[in-house]
Amino acid sequence: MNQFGRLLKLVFLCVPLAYLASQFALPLVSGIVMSFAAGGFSLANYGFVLHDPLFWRAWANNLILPALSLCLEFVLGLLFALLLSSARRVSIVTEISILLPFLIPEIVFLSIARYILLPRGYLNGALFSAGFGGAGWLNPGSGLALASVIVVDAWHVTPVVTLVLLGGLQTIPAELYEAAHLDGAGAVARLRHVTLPFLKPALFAALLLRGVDALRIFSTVLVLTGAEGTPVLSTYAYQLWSDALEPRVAMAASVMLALLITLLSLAVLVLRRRAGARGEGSWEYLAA
Amino acid sequence: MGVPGGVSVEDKLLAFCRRALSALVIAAAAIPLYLLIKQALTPELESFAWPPAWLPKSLTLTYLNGVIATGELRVALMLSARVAVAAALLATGLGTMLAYAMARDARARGLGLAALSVTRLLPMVAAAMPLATILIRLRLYDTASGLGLALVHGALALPAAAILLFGAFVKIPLELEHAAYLDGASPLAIFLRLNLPLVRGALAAAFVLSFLASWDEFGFALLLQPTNRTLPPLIYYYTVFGDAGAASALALVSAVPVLIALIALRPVLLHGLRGRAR
Amino acid sequence: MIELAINNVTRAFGDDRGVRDLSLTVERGEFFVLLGPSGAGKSTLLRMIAGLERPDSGNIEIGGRSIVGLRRPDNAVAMVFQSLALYPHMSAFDNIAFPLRMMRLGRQQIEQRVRETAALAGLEIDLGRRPGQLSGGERQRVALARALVREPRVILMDEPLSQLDTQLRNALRLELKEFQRRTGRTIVYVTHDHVSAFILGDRMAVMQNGEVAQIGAPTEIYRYPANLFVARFLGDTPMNLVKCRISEGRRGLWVGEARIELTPPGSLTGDLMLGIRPEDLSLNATLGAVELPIVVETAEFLGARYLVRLRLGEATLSAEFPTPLKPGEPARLYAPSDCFHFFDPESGRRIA
Repeated sequence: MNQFGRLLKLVFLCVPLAYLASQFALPLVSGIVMSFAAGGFSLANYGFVLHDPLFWRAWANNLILPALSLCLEFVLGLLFALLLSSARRVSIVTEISILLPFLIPEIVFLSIARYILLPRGYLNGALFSAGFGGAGWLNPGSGLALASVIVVDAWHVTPVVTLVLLGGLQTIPAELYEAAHLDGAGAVARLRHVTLPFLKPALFAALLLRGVDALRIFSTVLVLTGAEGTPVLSTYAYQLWSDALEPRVAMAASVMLALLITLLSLAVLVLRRRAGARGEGSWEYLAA
Repeated sequence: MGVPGGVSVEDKLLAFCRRALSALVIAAAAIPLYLLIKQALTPELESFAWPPAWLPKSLTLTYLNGVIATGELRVALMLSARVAVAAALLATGLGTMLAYAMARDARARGLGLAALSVTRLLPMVAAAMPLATILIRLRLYDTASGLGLALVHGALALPAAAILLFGAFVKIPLELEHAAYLDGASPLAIFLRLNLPLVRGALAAAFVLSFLASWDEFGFALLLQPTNRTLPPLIYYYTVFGDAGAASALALVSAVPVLIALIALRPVLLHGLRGRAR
Repeated sequence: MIELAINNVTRAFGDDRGVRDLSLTVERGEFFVLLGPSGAGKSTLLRMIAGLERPDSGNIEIGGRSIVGLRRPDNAVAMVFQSLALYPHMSAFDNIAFPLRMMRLGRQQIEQRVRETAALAGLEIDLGRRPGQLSGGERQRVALARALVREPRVILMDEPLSQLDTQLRNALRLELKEFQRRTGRTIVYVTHDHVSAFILGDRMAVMQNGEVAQIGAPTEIYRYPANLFVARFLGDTPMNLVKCRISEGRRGLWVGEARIELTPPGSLTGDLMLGIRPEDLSLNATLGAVELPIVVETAEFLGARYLVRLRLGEATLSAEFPTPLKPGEPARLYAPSDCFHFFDPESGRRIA
């Protein structure tokens, strides 16, 4: 069958890849070139960034925020996935509810989250009515604002983690649980010795999938606290580009972000190989 | 994990946790949706009262009418729709080609998956900022037609569309292609008359998902269409600088078609979730 | 007249599967069966004839024209696949019409030829139905009609009946044979089932490890298997094969310490493999039959017959009798002298 249709498949492969390259690879390369340009080849843009205290805050936030958000959404995602797969019957309301925060368009979700967290928002209103004082949930630069961003981010994307882990849970044969039960394993022991080992590939897949998105976090920060409220690398670069009109410096910052994401993804891939997690699926999860 | 027979303390505790989790899940989904609808339908005064009212006192259609009547909003709505249709056509069309090549050739599969994965690693800003420079040169930056944005949205949606269609193509037995070959069909005829009709469902799902991906996209839209805005940036501006009623009405209008489509596509999203008891 | 000629065709895969330097010819109007265990290379050969696979070397001619390396298949061959490979989204009519549409025939012509071919293949159904709505037998006929509709010189079949239940398979097998006899089509049929090969084939080739072990009419191959492999592969109960010895000093044929009163054909001596088909062993002495001194070991009830295991010298034989024999008793069995097959134990080749 290989002797015919080769040309068709070649065209079918190359045209979409060329299109992807024109939209992503070409801008990236031109951006990298831009980041080294300051009237000739120069490292000045990187020098500027590295001497900017705001950059270092953004850098720190860009590590803390994804790390905590991932922890939160993995704990919740695992709980939800176990909930969905362990119940004899999952009501359609629960099923839709689990997905809903992610199904609502991101910006719509963030808009409502902002109205809830504003100083005169619904959360403080409810606290006030209950006799508590309010809090500045979104105060620029505060730890509380960082926490708010983390919670909102986890709130929004936990459904994705749930879905991936659920896919992993469904690969576990039911007989294993029955065998473990007969062997006297309680619920916790079953989780530790049956569920988690089987879930390893799905966990790594979800980690890759969500980790990349968490590192690229942009809209959540921008809508909730503004670019400078809890600066991350994306908003830092955006602000340099749109407000400070320093496109080359902005590119230097975003190139560093791209580098960070690539290195951390590679690290996860290496870790996955070390852990011996089976399955080729993670590339597909990543692409999807 | 409930095994019939033994009901231990652990199992009872588990049942309680399950109920508590269900409640949390439903609240986490219902509260934002409820507030969105409430804000869109109540006068702004209520949204800005202190403490803000959780229950509506009076209802108004002012904001929803405003969304439809105001030129700016209508233009954004139309632009979003146009961009999303173009992006969905691009992503589905080119995604189908890539998926077919990947399904029928092992080397193409490796290359395709690698390329699709690498695109995921790229942060939005790193692509959007230089892209803006390129689009300015091509006179495609911030146009009323939104063509430049549609191009990048198509590329953003392509990986998911391609993976979805790839899954559909690999399910078609190779023997069918061999039969068509012996029946005298050319490679193109085999693709068009045999494979495409067999993945109709996946094509529709890929189109809808790509459409929604573009409809929801915020970052590129913000950077590439700073004045000819699509809905998400407009909602952003209304939320941060405008009034709550209009922002929520606009958000509601943009969310409703999405919710309907996605809830209808739930089986695709959840695979075989229901009916799996453990 | 030769319709299909395969000359020195070789196709190697990484493992041992494949076809090695294979030559054979199929006459026009012949029902030719390729028989062999899985991995013998018969499907590979069929796919090369179809043009789905290209031989590494050698040539394949259909109607005197080489089909190797054609960019598109010409109308010389059609194939019925193991899975039938009916197009699931097309009606039965469209399935049969597909090859004609690819030839860009006119609508009326297509309509007419599809109807004719469907009738020829024994299809008496609403052709608007899809494969999913048809029974196994109907699907089979649609697949046959699709292969016939272009009027190819050779029709290739890759075990198309294997996925049906036994009864339907037997019925369709007879129908296929009848159809071929009536229409005089040239058919090359692949199977691993010797019963199908016997029933269907005018001639057959038994394949082993990518080579032809023997070619001939089914009766001929059954009666005179060319080597140990063919002898073992054909038959419901495999041929009994035992080591034997003909020495110059001791007269006769020796299986261990048991002596068979048989004058070996020609001047055979030394160690040999002796083959006797179970059904050739009988309890009754007939004129010229050779006597075998055996001891009964076990007798298993099979319904119509008993499968009896016998000891002959050191070797064990199987035979089938309408009545059981008592285990442990010596008995006398007889076999016609022309039913003794001798093979070279080294090469496996038939000696006499």
